[in-house]
Amino acid sequence: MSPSIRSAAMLLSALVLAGTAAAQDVLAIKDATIHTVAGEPIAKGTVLVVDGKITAVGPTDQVAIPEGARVIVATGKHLVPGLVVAHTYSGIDSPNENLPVAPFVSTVDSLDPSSLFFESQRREGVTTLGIFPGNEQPIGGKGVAVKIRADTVAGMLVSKEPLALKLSFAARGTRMQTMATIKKAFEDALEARKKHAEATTAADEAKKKNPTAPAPVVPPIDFKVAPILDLLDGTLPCFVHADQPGDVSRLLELLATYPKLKATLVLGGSAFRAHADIAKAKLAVVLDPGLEHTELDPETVREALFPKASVLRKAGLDFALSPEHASQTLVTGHLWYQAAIAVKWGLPPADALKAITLWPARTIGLDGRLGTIEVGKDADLALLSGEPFKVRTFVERVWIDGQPKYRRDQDPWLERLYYKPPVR
Amino acid sequence: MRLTAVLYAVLAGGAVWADTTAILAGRVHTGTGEVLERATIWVEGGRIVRIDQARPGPGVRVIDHADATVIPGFVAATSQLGGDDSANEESSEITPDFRVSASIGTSPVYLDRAIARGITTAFVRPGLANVIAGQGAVIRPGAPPESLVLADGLELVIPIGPWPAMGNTSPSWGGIQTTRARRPTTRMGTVWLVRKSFFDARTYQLTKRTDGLSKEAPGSYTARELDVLVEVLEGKRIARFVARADKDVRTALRIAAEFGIPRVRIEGLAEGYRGPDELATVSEGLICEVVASDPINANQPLSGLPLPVAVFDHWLCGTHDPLCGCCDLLLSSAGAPGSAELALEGHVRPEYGPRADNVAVLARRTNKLALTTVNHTNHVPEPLEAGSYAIRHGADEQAVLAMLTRIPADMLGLAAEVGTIAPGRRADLVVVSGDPFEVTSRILAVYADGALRHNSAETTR
Repeated sequence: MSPSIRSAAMLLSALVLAGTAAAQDVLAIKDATIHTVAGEPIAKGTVLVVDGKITAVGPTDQVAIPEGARVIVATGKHLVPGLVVAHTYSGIDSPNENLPVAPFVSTVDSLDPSSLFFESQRREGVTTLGIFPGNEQPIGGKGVAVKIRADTVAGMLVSKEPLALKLSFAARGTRMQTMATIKKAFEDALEARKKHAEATTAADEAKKKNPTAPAPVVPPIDFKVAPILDLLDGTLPCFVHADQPGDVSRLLELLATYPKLKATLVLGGSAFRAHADIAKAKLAVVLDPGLEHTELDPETVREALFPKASVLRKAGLDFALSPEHASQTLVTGHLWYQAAIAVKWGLPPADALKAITLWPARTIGLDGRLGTIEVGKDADLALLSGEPFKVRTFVERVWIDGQPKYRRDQDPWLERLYYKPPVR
Repeated sequence: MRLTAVLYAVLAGGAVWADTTAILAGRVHTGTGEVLERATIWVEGGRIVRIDQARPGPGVRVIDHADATVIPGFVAATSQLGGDDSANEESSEITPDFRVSASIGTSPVYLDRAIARGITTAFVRPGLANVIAGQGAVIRPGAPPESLVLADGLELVIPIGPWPAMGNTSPSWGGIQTTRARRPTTRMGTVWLVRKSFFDARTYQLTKRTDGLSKEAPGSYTARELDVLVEVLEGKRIARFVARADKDVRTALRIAAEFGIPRVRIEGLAEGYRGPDELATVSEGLICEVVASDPINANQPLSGLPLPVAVFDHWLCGTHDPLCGCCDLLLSSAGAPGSAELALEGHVRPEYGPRADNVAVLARRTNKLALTTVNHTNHVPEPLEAGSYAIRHGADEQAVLAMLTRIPADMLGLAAEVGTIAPGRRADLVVVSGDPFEVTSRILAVYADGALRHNSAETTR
């Protein structure tokens, strides 16, 4: 064999070996209307996914689909990022521990992957959720982020790190008690750190004086208190449930006293009325479900309606929407429904879509990986049968990390939910 | 919403115009299945005179909804728009001559909510706590107080289900029955009391005497009470059975057949898809409830139950009350001793339970079907929500609109008055921003008797 042919043969075999050595999992979703949430929707677009990450998004004629790819032809359908729930307390066995201050517990320890809540959320397009403790404790526990992609806790967890600590200003008991409890817990933690520092210094001095004697033991800071120190140091954020406008003022006071605190507001009840203060302080916001807030005018005895999402948007705020807790599959309350209600009262549809994708992803610090259909992000995608927010639109398929996790045409629950399951 | 001319309607006073008004609509759903584009609805004296595509000339009062869709005001086939007072009488289980109209307050909140949801006519019934609950009324939410009740003393409401027994405890053997310690305490007790009432009515029909007849519920009958029951037996009054579960619907039909009750209506039908076939021939029609959203108790965890039925937490009563026995579910919190066994014991077989396409299935079997919602937070039905839900899961849009307007109007004997946008009817109109049953559409305005009763721009902050 001539030298040039030999080197060509070697090059060829090297290429062949390189091709078979690392088999890639390639998925292409073709010809859908793609709502990237990062710009204008692409009318007839294709998304390419390699090993669970998005590697290309664009008009179909601009995206080359490699050989060997699984191709889903999605003509006439709409592709959206997998929906993100920033805060919920469903999917765990019981949301509230029987202690006013329990920062050392974590929802990771009571996650129930078998819960029908997860199954029902995914049917409606949700892929990632921040699972938090409930609203009854002044200081609850830690929340974690999960994807609805496995039957084990380890498989569902997005990260071992907690998302945030949960606080509630509308905890059981009076607000006076709640605020006092929180402040005392903060001060006790700082006191514990101070005592620990003093004990350490004293131990060091004793050691210097008497190098040969056994070193005095300095007990570590109580592990129960450590998360609060992380909170006060700003290394662990908190989600604060607020029910009334005054709760927002109280949070601002707390932030003034402990300036490193990082807080996201979870707005229930009438707390959204403090939107001016929230906007001024540039706080991140999650809106509890139930977007049509009514108040009775005591003089006219007529009801006024406050569309929460529009009110916040007019104040210049971004926010994450939430599904109703433990949403029943049959009943309104799902995330897309909340977004549709927001559109009903004037929120632009593009913003409503952000409020269930990018903004919640940002709220839980995962917008680098989730919330839009962009190159480099996790391939968490939901394929809709039609336009988003329409009453006849259903989720047909869900992929998480590029893996197919839901197909409506193979959904066994439809036998249970329908007398005559729809023919697809 | 643009009002391009001076409006003579007074919200509180509810003046009815004598002059002609032309309401311009981008689209009109008449309620008969017809959809008209760019139509004008001519209104005079609170009534619809005609609908055409003529443009109004100068000098005619014009209301411009040319960007919106207009549908007929909703006719709620059932509701509990009482508000002020309880509609569950506690002194006796048998109260045939009690009229719910006495407990309908003029509390504006519930009536305002009804109007804001487009309900311009509503049947109000007593609650379900009594065995023979009493008589309903038709009201006009949005009307001035003196015109609130349109018709009274209607039908006889007979709940067949767990509710009359709920809250009753057994009286001691042979002991006196009181408000709480009395029968019935079971479904069989409930049904027995219903049958006893009609049996006693038959006896009275023959003897014209009340002595010797005891309600056992507690108390004794008055002639008036028995007259009402006799009216039902003679077909002069409709018996409205409220039955949600399949077994209760069949019981209701059995009782009706046993006593030859000529005029029967059934409300509830959460398991209506299960039949039976004779549902299609129920003389006065069916009222199907859709379980609407329940903001209260929304954080009730679905814990412990590994079975499909867990998805339908309290579908029967919608109360999410863990002590409610009505759904035959035993919800136990995870970790309670024996919870798995308890959970398995009480569950409903997969062939039963609610179905998303219940309305669509029933609609294929009968035209005499009205639609309503179960909403236990404020007793105000949510017609658009019920419609959206039914359509999402397979029902036809025009059929659903009729189920909320023309058909209930017909059932209540008010077809000439309400339920359609047609000449001669009351000008009850709901103006919607887009497709009525899209969640993204909202009600912009509601007119009743031609007067503006709800203006969304005014009440939205």
